[in-house]
Amino acid sequence: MGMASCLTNEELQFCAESAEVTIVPNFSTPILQLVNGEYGPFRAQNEATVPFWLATLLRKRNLCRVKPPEWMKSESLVQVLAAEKSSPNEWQELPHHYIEIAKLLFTKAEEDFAEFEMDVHEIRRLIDDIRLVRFDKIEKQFKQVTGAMTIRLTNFCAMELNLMRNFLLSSLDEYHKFSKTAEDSVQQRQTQLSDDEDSQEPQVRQLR
Amino acid sequence: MEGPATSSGALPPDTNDTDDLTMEPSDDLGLGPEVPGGTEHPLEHDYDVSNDAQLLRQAWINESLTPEVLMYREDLVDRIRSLIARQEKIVEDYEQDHNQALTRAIRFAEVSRIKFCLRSYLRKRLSKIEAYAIHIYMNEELSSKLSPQELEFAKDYIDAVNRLFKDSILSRLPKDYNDLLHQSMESEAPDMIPEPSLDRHVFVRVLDDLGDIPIDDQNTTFRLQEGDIFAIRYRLIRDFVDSGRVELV
Repeated sequence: MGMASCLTNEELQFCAESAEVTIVPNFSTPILQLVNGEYGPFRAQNEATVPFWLATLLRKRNLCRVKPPEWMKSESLVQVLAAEKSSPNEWQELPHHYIEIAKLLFTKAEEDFAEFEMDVHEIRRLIDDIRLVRFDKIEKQFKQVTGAMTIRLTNFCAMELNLMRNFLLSSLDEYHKFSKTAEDSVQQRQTQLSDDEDSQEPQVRQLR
Repeated sequence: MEGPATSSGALPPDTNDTDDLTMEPSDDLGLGPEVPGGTEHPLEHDYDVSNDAQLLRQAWINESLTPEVLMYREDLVDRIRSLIARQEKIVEDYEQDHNQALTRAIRFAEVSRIKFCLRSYLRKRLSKIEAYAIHIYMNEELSSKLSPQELEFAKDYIDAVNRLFKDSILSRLPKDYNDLLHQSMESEAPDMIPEPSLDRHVFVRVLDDLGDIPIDDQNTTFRLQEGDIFAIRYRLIRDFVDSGRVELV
């Protein structure tokens, strides 16, 4: 009786839009008290921090420039990409919603990169490369999943988890079912030694 | 993939894949008509609200990804509902004030996001309640996780399904095989009640150092440290979800 427990891309983007970003407004307004917290006061040409959904709302009305976050600077992306390539078992720390955020900025505030002296084409290419290298590594790591186990996935991002969700989690479900059946039959056959190879299957694997 | 609430704030989130988002909230399920906001001065903020929107988002994601229905977040839903009412009142009050057009649009966009979250939260619960209605209804501990309205819904749903099956199929089956809950008269306990599998695996993020937790019968333990993400059997971390020490991702 499995119900699909997955998030849609739209739901992921919705979550990503709650993350905060720096903007440079071109209007002035006193502090804005919202449910999610206080934002502002906004003064023209002074940086302010707002959630992405608010940044895109203002950007759409040409009321601000969105400052691409620090991790998007090409120097740090070059480093991340190199590290991703050189270590097949380690995942670099990126914002949990880095793919969604990048997409949001590329589509809603593409022209703003230049104003902060950032090359949007280069950044887009780097992020794409990072994304592909990581996906490629993930596919290779799947080969390590050979039984019922708990897997450490620290630094995996929302979109990556969501993409492998059905495949990985249902494989683990099946492995768990098999291992339980194996255990049960071991217990029933009393003649079998208790350290049967099935029960000694390594239970913990660290993918990281 | 247009983001929700990006255009002039006038649109509710436009997620076009499920109808749960376009339907009107049902009065019985937490999103009633106006909740008295009780604020004479709508712009005054007298209590800390900074976290409720985040808590709701977390509750919504948890509810989306766990196999079973979680504890109903009554206090949170009540607070969110009055926040929504309060913000909507502000939006209404400034309808004619063109100087406030921008802040109005911003508030409206935020309220739309929160309402989307609340609706989706309630609807994801409902879909699980539908799937496991009998299982939940027959177990006191599980029933206590539902709001009174949800419990009533479960009961009505069971009655309706019961009637439907009786009328359409069960009445035409042989005598010993015409029960909704028993495979045949030979099974003494009801053995045809769908229930969620707690052995399903989920992704969790650890929010609080949990130390070593046992992961099998052979005394193998596993360390759950703050910030780590795991693919793990839901049963092993079940208690930590309700206490907010892990969140699903």
